[in-house]
Amino acid sequence: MTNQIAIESDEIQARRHRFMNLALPVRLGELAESLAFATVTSDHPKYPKFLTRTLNESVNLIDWTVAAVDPEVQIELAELRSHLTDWLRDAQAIGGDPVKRARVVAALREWSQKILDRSGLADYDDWQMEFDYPPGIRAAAEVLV
Amino acid sequence: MIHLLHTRATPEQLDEMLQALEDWIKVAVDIRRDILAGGGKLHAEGEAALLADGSRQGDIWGATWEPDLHVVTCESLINIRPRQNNHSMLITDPVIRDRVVEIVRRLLEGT
Repeated sequence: MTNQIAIESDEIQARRHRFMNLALPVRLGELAESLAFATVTSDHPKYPKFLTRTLNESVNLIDWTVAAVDPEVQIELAELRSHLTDWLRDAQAIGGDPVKRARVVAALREWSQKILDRSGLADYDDWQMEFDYPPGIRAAAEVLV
Repeated sequence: MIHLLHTRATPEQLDEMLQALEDWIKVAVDIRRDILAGGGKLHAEGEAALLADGSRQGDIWGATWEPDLHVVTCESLINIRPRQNNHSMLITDPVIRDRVVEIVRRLLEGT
């Protein structure tokens, strides 16, 4: 059991390291994608498990981003994190209640768009070149194309 | 593990691609070359594999495949392409979207 915990911890650390190497707007974009993905398959019986996994992922991404953003965005991320932890606690009930589920899905969609707007990525013609995403790959890829 | 697929994935390849995220596979699809790369934590990792293999940026689109439910979601950060008139994470052009779904289903589900 101890070994398993150690392995998971290493994996999260590796993921954190990879994520922290991304430019801040890209990190916000990844968070927006994670929030949007949490709305997929919301009408399926397995949704509570899916929701739990995707929301946990979003919480991690917030934790790995919040220190780097402006105070105004920090407040928004703190509010979002609070909603996510509430929904994580209620994931089973959300999955079983169509009204609650619809409300959470709508809220996740709204937050996803809000965070994406905050990232500013859609304002660039080619944000991937602008932010070297994926890191270190694009310059070499341009030579190959 | 990221696999670059030209033909239908073997069960072993699917298992290896699922190791990254367990319940779903993030893929980058080249709609011109009819191939995909999947299995990373980020869509960008599949995209990088395709670019390194000679794909063109404008041909690559992101999607996620959920094997239990056979759901393909065409929503990814790498799909934001203002230059190609795609301003959201969703692929808004139905022709491109259908093509992505068709390639994902063929190479991952064999349909």
